[in-house]
Amino acid sequence: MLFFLFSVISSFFTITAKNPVHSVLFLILTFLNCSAILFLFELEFIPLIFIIVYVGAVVILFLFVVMMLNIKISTKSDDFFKYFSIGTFIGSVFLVEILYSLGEAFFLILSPLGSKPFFSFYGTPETFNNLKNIGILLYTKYCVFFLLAGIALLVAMFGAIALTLRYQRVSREQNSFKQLSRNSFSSSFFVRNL
Amino acid sequence: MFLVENQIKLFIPEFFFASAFLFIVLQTSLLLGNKAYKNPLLVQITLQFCNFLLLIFLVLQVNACAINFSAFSNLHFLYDNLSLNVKCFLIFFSILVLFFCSNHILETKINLFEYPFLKVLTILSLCFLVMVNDLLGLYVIIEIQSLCLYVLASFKRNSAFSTEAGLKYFLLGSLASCLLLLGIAFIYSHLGITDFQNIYSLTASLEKSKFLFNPLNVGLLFLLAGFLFKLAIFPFHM
Repeated sequence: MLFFLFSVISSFFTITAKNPVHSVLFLILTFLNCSAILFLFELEFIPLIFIIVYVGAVVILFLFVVMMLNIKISTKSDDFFKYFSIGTFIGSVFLVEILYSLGEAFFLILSPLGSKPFFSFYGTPETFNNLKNIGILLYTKYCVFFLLAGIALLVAMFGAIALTLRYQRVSREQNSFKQLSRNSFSSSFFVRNL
Repeated sequence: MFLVENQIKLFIPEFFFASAFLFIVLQTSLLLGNKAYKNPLLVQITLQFCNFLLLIFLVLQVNACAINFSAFSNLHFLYDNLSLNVKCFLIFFSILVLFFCSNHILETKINLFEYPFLKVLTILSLCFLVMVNDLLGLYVIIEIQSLCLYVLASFKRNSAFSTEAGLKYFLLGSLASCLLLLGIAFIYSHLGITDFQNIYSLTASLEKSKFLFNPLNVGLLFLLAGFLFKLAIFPFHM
């Protein structure tokens, strides 16, 4: 419940914070709270992925971009009402869709009988945990797709190298002999202020 | 164990192709890193190598056609006469494409040896795409293919048009793959199954829902929209 409250409050601040750096930090807080909630539901894999992928990589990347672009003050959103109608339309369509597909679970929460709505993975007949199940499936049943994912990573590497690497004739390389042969006398200089 | 053994037997041409391709990649990158040769131009040689590899792949595939005449499917990949024949056609025409693009490379001065490699990987993913029988595998294979095509679209680095086209294609294509994934998620949430044959048999036996926008229909709609976005066909063209 505490995590739930924190996640709602921090996601609210993510939208309304004026400083983009603060908003990204609140986004990290939201992700951490969501993953804590999922940990309480005994789903190990998804919150770990949340923390590793989103918090570890994507949001940090956002943070770097925001800090490097140096946009300090975002203007108070004038076009809030411009996108309000279409935003609410699309949002309500998705909400109805999700309520329809997962409606039973939601209404079980609301019902006063209070039966446990979520599916506890602890009492499943196989005594493996969630992570182990996923690992076993990935390496046996879906091994061809695993190999194909490896090929996809190879393609990404090809693309990054082909699009950015330039073969310079005189590239700046480390001269290890020169680096190792420096001593304290030859490497400290006095700079005179003119 | 039976399943794994069968999968490996079915994929002998593809496994050969992928491993030989990786060997060529390794050799060319080693050759390029060698300082004695001083930045050799390897495009034409790698192109010819890839063409030769595709020729062997075609022979292996025709051979597989002759041996496995019975239809066979193992949940993730459908292995019947149609997919085999389509694959043979595909490889034959891709050999022609690679053969004719050597002149194009000379004219446009594309001197990076990754160019034929990306084309070959596109062809490999197409070969998997004609046999795939699972929504998850479909997504992975389409992702490989579109990654190759993004890079190929922005391959001419000194041209502003090429870079712009690559960036736009990348953004729209990633949006389309998001739609595809959302559709797959809706279908999975409704049926709990991702392979095509079981989806077909389940939907045939399920009673019709009165609500038009039930998750299955919406999932199929998103899937269709994703494909149309990828191909830039009528309602989603720019």
